[in-house]
Amino acid sequence: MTLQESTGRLLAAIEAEDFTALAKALEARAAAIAQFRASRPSPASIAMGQDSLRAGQTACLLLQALKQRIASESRRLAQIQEGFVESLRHSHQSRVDYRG
Amino acid sequence: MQIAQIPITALQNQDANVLSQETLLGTLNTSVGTLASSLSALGALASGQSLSATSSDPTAVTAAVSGATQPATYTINSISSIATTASERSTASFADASSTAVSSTGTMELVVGSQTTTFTLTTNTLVGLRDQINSLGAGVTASILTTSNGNYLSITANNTGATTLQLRDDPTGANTNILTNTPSTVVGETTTGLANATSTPVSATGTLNLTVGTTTYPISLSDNSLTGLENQINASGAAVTASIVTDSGGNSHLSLATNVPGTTTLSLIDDPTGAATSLLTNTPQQGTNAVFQLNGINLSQPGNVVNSVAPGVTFSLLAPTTSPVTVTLATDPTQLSTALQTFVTDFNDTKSQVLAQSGPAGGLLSGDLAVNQIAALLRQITGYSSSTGTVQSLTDLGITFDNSGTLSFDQTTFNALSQTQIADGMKFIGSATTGLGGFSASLTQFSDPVTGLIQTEQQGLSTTDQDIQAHITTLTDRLTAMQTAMAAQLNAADAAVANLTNEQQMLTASLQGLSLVLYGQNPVTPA
Repeated sequence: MTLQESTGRLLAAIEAEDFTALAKALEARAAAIAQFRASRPSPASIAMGQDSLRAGQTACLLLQALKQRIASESRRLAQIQEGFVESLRHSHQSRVDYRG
Repeated sequence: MQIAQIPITALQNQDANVLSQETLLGTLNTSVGTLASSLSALGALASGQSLSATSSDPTAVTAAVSGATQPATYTINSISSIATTASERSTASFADASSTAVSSTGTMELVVGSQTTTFTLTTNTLVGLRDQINSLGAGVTASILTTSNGNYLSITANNTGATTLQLRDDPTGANTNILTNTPSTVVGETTTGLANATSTPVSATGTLNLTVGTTTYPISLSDNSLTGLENQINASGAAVTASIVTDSGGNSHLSLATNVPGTTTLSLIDDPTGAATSLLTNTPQQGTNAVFQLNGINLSQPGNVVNSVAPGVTFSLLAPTTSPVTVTLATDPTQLSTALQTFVTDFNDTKSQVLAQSGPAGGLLSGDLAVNQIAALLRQITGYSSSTGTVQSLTDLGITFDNSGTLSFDQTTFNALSQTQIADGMKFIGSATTGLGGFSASLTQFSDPVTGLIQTEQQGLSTTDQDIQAHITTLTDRLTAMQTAMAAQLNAADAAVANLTNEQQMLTASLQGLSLVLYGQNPVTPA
């Protein structure tokens, strides 16, 4: 798999929030980088490598954003649960006073 | 994780409230039940005229009211003997309770009344004999008496009354009774059982001779039945008491017991001038029956508690006496005032619990249906009145209440009531089911442990508690699963970020190296 292909899969996995596919894409990209390092340099390959480097930087930003979204959803879930239980807790009966 | 736990805590708080409500209802239930009992007891006392029994000689006879509802007087003319337990000891002593043999063959026979038990000693010693007798369930207790002359076996019947007590060694051989035999009364019983005590003829000719010691009492039956014979013997003046006993086959026998302890002979001969048939078997008896005369009627029974002769009153015979003892059943205002005080105390306990759940500062049971209805019922009780008699309200009996409905009992006011007012007070109170006492049933509708309204509410709360617990469990499971999944995702994201950062560094380094080879310079900016 080429460096371009593996980087593309990396971005697709982040977009799909598929951490299994993400792990496989990272493995493939690491292998592609090793091949790229051992390849004969050419202007085209240098340009392709620079494109992949920029795409990797984008992937980093997307991954950080995904982490924040997961943390945010966790907190939102807690708030939903708390609100639900609170609504139960405040449903009490009416009061009638007694005087002997 | 901490944020996600908050809903669980809130549910647990709700559950704690439910459990507290259950506890409050349980306490209220006990209090209402107690109040119902005190009202019922008060009513029962009033309907029974608040009777109390007094004895002219408490050292000989005591008495207690056990249901009587009318004043009465009873005379215990005399008490020949009070019931005692049969108790014997071995005639011989044994040097060592744990090693000296007590039986020549190891086989023994215990006789208690009409019950004979044969047993083989597992350990042929006094200790072994004692333990084995105690394990027979024969109605006796064996123990060892240690004296300077050695160890003796003591056997005592568990219940009072005249009975036979024998312990025989080698019953099929020498058949030796190893107990002392000190008969305290003599009891005779007819050999033949009769199918019907009131109709089957007991005598061939209707003429009999009863002999006690050396005195003979001729009897000519006006009613030739066991009951007729019993009545005529008891009226004959002989120092014996006749009674009818029924055997296991349902047949009736006449039982005669001497009224005075001591050795004597006892015989009952049918047709003395003809066939001269002896009707009795004589048995030496240990222990004694209670033999006494109540309102002129001769009576004999195994125990000293007499509760089947006079309806609603129980006599306890304590000592023999030849002087008449008078037992009087009369109205006792003290019992009534004590019951009223108990009612006031129990009422105030319930009242305070209801008040604690009422008003702006009321507890968790504020607005509860049962609490509201009990409050209304308490108001009915305090407001109960009668339109007849000199006592028409609780106030007339010395019970007052303050603004909160709490009652007070004024003993001085009660003590000043006349006999007429006491009588009218008992009519006002009614019985366990009518009048003031009738509120007991209304209260029981709340406190009944099976069908009571409070119990129903407790069951509802219990169900709610179970629902909340199930809810908490489900929610906890879901949260745990979601938290686990999110934690795994965050871990995977962290690992991916680390790998990606490493790859970017490797790619940057590779580009630098390749650019240097191709262009002799480094145009790449590190990631």
